[in-house]
Amino acid sequence: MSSNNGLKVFTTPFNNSNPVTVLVLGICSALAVTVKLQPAIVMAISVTVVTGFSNLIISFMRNTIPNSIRIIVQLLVIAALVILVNEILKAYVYDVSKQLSVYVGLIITNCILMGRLEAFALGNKPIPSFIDGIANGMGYGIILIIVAFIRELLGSGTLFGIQIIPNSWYAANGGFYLNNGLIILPPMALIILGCIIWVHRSINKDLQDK
Amino acid sequence: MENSDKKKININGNTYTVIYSVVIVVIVAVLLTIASTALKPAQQRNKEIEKKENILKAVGKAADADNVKDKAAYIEQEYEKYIGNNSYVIDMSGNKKDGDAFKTELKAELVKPETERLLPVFVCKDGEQSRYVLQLHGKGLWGPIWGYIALENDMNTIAGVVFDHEGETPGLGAEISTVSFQQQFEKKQIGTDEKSPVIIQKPGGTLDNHTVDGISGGTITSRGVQQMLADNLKLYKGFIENIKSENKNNSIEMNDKNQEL
Repeated sequence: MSSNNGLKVFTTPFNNSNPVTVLVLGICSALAVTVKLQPAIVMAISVTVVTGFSNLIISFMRNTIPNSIRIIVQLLVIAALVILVNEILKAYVYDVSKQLSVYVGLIITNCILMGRLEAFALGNKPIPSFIDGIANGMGYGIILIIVAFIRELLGSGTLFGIQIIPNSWYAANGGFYLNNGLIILPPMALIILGCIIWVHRSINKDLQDK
Repeated sequence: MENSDKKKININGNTYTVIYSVVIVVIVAVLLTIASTALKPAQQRNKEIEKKENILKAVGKAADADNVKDKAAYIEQEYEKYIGNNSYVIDMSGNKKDGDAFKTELKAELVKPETERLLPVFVCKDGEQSRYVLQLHGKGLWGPIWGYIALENDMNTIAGVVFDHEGETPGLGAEISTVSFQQQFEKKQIGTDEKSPVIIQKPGGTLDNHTVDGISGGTITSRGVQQMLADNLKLYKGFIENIKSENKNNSIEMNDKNQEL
């Protein structure tokens, strides 16, 4: 079966089945944490860790899970991992965990996680499941980072908090430039996301509706 | 293979399902308890550092906090330098009481009856100058807001403020935690009207030394900040009066001494 081919499992989430641009999952958090690059990257790493390990754990347990409580068990594993990630962030990168605030907790409700567990981990061996989880997390993360890059650059004139647009350009200093305040707000993130989906679909012929 | 063993147990039976769920919940609970206990000290320290940073920022210190490599060490050092042990708790009439100011949380004190209430005061010594940092706690639009206000020795001039919030709208109410909003309070005078010691008004109006610009789109949060300042300065009223009369006595003593000389 082609889905057991490690390389293919790894690459499809970046292109043909990208969780954000193709499956349109995890949009809520993609809008919320992409004002600045740093929180977006931390969120991407957190989600990748959680998808990877929840896929791995569920795949190990897949033959023992009673069918009737399958979803609850998945949720329990996800929730436990997310709480772990949250506690670790609070202990080691406190500033970032404050910026992410509730959104780390909301990884639990990210549809990508349950989607991958149901669609992949329950029917595949641990190693391919782990790869699938990591790849999906990264496929999600890469979109997050692209959106955050555009939003931080146009919205605040910075990247990673470092000023990129020269200070002398700003209207306040006699220049011609103003940061775009609209970019900071969630609706613009949705529009940027829409543009990314548009570009992605126009490049990838497989995704175009006949 | 292992599957043939598994076949003997009916994994969809009730007994199996119940035992399975109990076992897995216990395992997860134990794991999380271990993680939480192990990480508690580090988390606690982060909270302490944040509190110290806020106190220092209210008096305009620790400005480099975001640029230094080891932020925690920098904050500790600055805190030792300017505040150190110069903090105490007071009761509602402004008398010093036993207690650790750093561990006193205004939020917890506000639910106590007035006679038992203890309020934290941090004194920032910078050369000859003393400034008093008082804690604030109030309500925003979506949840609690809090912060610190630093007063100059005359107890009338605001040296600086720091505000933070739990869940105000980003870009609107959440702007109260930005430096540009907080900077407006510096050097403002506390008005005589107890209900509005500092007036936060609609942006664009003319400002005098009691008024600052509010946040457009964040009216309710701005109003919350104004209310918080009014309520909390009222709590500290006894203390503020005490320091004021102390100042007066000191200056009289100084005058006496000068006359003797």
